[in-house]
Amino acid sequence: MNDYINPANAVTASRMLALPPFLYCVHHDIYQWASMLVIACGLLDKLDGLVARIFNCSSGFGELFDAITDAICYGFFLIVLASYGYVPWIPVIVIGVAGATNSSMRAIYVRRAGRATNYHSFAMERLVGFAAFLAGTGCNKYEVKYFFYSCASLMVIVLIHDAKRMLIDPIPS
Amino acid sequence: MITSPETFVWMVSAVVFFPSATWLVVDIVRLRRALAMEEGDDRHDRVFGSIIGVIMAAIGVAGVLKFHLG
Repeated sequence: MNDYINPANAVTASRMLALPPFLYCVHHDIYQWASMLVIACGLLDKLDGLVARIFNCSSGFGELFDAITDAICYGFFLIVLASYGYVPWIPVIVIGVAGATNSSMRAIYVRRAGRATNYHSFAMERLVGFAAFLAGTGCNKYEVKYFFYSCASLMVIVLIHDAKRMLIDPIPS
Repeated sequence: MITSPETFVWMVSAVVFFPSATWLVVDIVRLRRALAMEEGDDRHDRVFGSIIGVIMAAIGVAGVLKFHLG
């Protein structure tokens, strides 16, 4: 099956359809529908992997496209929520900078090791999943400071760990 | 509006609480398995990832309790 145009990538791409209505909902303070759009986006994130397995269309491009879509969707949600005063800016900036720095380090690791990271903590991937929860709680102003500052602190810890793992530790055979 | 604000808050609580509680149990089991592995990079990474998962799940559970009881 085509690496670029296949059912799994179609599901991944469809997540971006949630972004314009999300902005509309937040702008008009229709927070319940904004939350539903975040949940729909999160569920589609889980669905694309399943579709890839069912249709046997997993590819390197698909994984990259999924990661980029995660960054765009969750980054968009958090920035919109911060712009409209739903959530504080400081943790959103920390989360954004940590995510971008981690992606840069992964690119350096690929050049250094000649392959993508092969360690198995998946801590940053877990935190990306947590970002979906953050957007959902942010829409409802639900313990926002507690959740956002907790996530930002965890991201800094994971970033330090991953930096040591990718840039300093010897490359595992 | 989909439903009343009070009902929706309970829905949000459920959506945060139940996955977090499940995740907490799953990551505690993963952590125990990782701690039982032989020393090495793989063990270190799995222990670290599981600890982060346990902390995140605990934050989710505690956040819901904080909202309703705090």
